[in-house]
Amino acid sequence: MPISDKKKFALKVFVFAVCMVLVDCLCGICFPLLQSHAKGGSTRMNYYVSDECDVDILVLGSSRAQHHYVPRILDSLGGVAYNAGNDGMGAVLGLGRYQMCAEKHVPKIVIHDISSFDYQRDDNSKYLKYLRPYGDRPYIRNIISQIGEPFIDLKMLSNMYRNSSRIIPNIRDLFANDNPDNRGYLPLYKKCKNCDHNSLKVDSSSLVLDSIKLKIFDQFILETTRRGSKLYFAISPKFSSEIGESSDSLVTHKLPPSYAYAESLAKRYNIPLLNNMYILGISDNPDFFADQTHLNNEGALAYSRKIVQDLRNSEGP
Amino acid sequence: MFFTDFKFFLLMPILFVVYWLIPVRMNWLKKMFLLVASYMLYVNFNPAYALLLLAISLITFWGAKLLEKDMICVRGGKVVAVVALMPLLIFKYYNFINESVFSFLSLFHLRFQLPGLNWAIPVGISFFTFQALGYYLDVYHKRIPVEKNLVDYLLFVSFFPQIASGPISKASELLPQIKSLAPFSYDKAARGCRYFLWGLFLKIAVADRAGLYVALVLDHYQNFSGLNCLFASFMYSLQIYADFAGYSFMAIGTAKLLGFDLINNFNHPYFSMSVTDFWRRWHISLSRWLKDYVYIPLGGNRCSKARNYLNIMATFLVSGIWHGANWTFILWGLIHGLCQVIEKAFGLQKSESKGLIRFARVLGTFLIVSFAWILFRSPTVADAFNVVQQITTLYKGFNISMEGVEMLAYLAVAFVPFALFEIIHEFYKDFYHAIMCRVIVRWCVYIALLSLIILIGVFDGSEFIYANF
Repeated sequence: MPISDKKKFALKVFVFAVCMVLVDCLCGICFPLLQSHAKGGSTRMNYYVSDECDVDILVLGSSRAQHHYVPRILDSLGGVAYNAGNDGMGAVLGLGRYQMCAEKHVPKIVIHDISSFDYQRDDNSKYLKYLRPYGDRPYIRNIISQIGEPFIDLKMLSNMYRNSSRIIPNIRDLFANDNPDNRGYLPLYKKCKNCDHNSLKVDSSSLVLDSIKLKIFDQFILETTRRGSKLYFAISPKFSSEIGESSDSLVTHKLPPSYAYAESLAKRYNIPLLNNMYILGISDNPDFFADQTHLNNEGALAYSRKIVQDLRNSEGP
Repeated sequence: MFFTDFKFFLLMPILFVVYWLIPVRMNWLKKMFLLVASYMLYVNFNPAYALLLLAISLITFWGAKLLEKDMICVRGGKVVAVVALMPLLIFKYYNFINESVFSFLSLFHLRFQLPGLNWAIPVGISFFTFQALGYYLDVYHKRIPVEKNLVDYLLFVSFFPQIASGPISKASELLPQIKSLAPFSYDKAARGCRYFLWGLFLKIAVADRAGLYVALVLDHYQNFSGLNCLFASFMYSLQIYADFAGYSFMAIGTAKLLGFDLINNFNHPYFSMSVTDFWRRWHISLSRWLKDYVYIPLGGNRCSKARNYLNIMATFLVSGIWHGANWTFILWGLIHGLCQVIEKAFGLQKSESKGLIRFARVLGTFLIVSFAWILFRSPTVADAFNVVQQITTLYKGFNISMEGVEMLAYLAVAFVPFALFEIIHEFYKDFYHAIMCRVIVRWCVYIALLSLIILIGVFDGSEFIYANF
């Protein structure tokens, strides 16, 4: 008896769905393989933090963290340091990376370089870029669920979806040639072209806080406390040519409104806030900057030495 | 709800199964089900605007009935058409007219301005208004009989696959399909899936990828070199085609899954040898609408040459205005109209070419169309002018910023199947059919396409460009 059109269609749809599940399973094997063989780039960093992490000092934050903290200098605090900062990322990725790392080895010190990405309202789904591949881990799934992408639990069942938009970096990073001594730190070697006539601009734009991110930021603080890591908030230098002419209090203490929340959070949880945003000797030196908000390698070395000093001072005698 | 909304992927299989589970003898129930589903999906955009959709449907439905019974005169018939157009005019053009009049009066130091409307334009208002108006005008010109069944007519106007961005169906094509619903056909459903998959690929993997680069460069054109701006302009040509064709293919696919055939809106437009040819291949349903209800009533080509040229310009002025209430769209329409007048004057619109000449003509047409797209995308004429000016700095040197290169890498991956399909389907149709009749090849293509969609697609829930028109 010939099968009806409807049954034939249903059967083909089923077979197609089975094929797609098989391809998805294949991706579930291939992607971890690609990630584990990465020689550098974000893939290597992700893999290291998620599967091999054994560091004592972990740096988290945005591109300002990634370009500003030199692990081999931070090593002098005692132990091995790793820079897990990432361009355009904040506390959402910070919490995920900290948890993944702490599952293997709890870092003694966590330095979180504060940025508006930590609490400002914007498109939150972009912060999941590096966490999605690890969506099968319950604590990562928990972060992703909080961000509230619709039907996320369903989507996370797919290996392909979890690794969406990661295939090119995964393949590229197989052939990357990163210096292993950099340990996540991404040095910039150019010098700032427009750092001559900058004035000390106090960012007065209004900041819209994101309740979801604030919740995750709180969790990040509580998680580091629970696991016994010593958390530090840091604000790394920005360029200002007028800094030498400014009053000392403005230079060292007054924060723009966009950082005020971090200040209140630091007070609430008694977390040391190492504010080096406008610091004499670094912020006023155009040779230390790649652009107005990012230090180059020379600047990063100087700042890393400064932060080591700050951390030692904050520990007391 | 748009086709790329994840909710739609969950809802569509349910709609499909329930629709085909309703027995054939209960066709009225199938229609009611589709009608309710169409309205529910439209309500998802904005509940209040569903009332607008209903109002336009009722005005044209009852207007046509009054025409049939000779209860209104010719002038009354025209009034009904204007009333049906009013929501479109108010929502889309009120602010533009108000601001334009204000700017004009300001030249004479007269400051008179009505308060602006702060309402979002209802999704697809231009499409469903034109579809309903097309039916009404067909009845007015006695090309089709008046529709007696309100449910059938409401479904014709609100049919969910085409509500947001067309294709604009003619009553003579879609209403008969609604009146006698087709039984389930495996071939049609399978073709529907193919159309939908290809449309989804175009939208998610090609258009939205290209869109990221276009937004990066053209929204900040001051920071990029002429070469970047030129490349981004070409990427916009790709984006708008993949975006709109993607929607149309998904609409056609969804309709086929429910047993309906909609008009194909695109036929490889970037292989056009002239701007006239381009409009035979781009947004075919709108071109047909404008031809039937604007160009021909104005006299078409059965008049003097000068009048014919004027008719072409007027038709493309309407086309420009239809796309949006902005001088950029008006200029865009006029450029297309002018190009067609020139082609007609030189007899280029009919001539076919081969080999290198064809290549040169295709390239020339693509450059003209891409240039016009700059106007189409820009928020103001001044912005468009600045982008063009930035492009003209090319002669100073070929500087190029590598920013956004990763976006382009993904786009390059998606571009390969896109370009292959476009070329093979346009130039080697027999070869295309020969390879696609092999089950193994076909299935590999489907699986590869869906995998590419998930692996390199952009899932930021961006809207369709044409849904705003």
